[in-house]
Amino acid sequence: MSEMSNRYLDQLRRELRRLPAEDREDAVREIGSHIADAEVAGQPQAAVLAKLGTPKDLARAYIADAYLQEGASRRGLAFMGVVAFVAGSGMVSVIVVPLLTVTAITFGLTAVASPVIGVLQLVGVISDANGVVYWGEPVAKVWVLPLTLVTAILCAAIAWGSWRALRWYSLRVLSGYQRVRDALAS
Amino acid sequence: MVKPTNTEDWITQARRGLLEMCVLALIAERPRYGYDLVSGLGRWEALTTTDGTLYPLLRRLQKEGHIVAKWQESAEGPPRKYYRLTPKGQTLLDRLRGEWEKLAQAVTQLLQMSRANSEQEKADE
Repeated sequence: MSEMSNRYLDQLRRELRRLPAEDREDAVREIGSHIADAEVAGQPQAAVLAKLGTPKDLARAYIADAYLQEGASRRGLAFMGVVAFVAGSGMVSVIVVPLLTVTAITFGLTAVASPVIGVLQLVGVISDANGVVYWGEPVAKVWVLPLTLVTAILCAAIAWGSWRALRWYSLRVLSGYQRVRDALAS
Repeated sequence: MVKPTNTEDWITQARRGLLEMCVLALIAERPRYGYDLVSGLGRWEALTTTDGTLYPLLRRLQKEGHIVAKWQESAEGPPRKYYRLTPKGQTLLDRLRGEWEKLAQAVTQLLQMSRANSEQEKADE
């Protein structure tokens, strides 16, 4: 068998990795036998491979047929699982995504604003009859900068954490959808 | 399900359903291997299939117990996978054949009638 055919079969084997090993080898062996028979019949190799379709398409047809044959009840259950996942993740997302986004933005802005406000207070642009007031308590001027910085760092940490959590959550949901899509489309 | 959007798709869809019956009918004659089936179908241009459709179909029919397979040595090359019909497959073939004959007759009559009527309409005008 030619180099081209062997490459085709290797690729088919890879694309069929989702089938049980025994079925996969049987399929690859049968396609190999087909290619050999077509060759004996005098058909040009390239035409034979073209009529089989790309290894990817051929594998997809195998896997789709295997899925059809799994039986209605199992497919029904699998589909219920899909519906549950889509509905469940949708409901959770409605709460989680806005919450994390708002938290990240609010704390992010506060982290930036806090030192700025502190400096403005020190310079006297913003002033109060009681001097500088921090968290409802008048504080000595020396403490203003350290306090605003601590506040800024805390807020930045919370904003960063929310942002990471949002990213992690979105990726998890997306990969969940991807799996569902693969299972249905294959 | 995939919705046919043009003639090409429509033919592909229609042929796919019938291919199963034709393959069973060919295997009912005698044990057949894949390439043998491809050439068997290829005698009629209308039934020519992309070979990529045939093998997954054979695997499904085998898994469903309509056909059984056996690897046999070949004088011309590597071993071939021969398929034989099971009693269950024979029952399926008989049922499909019956349905198809009724369907084909009905559709042929309907199309003939429709053509005759529309020609009558034109003649009346």
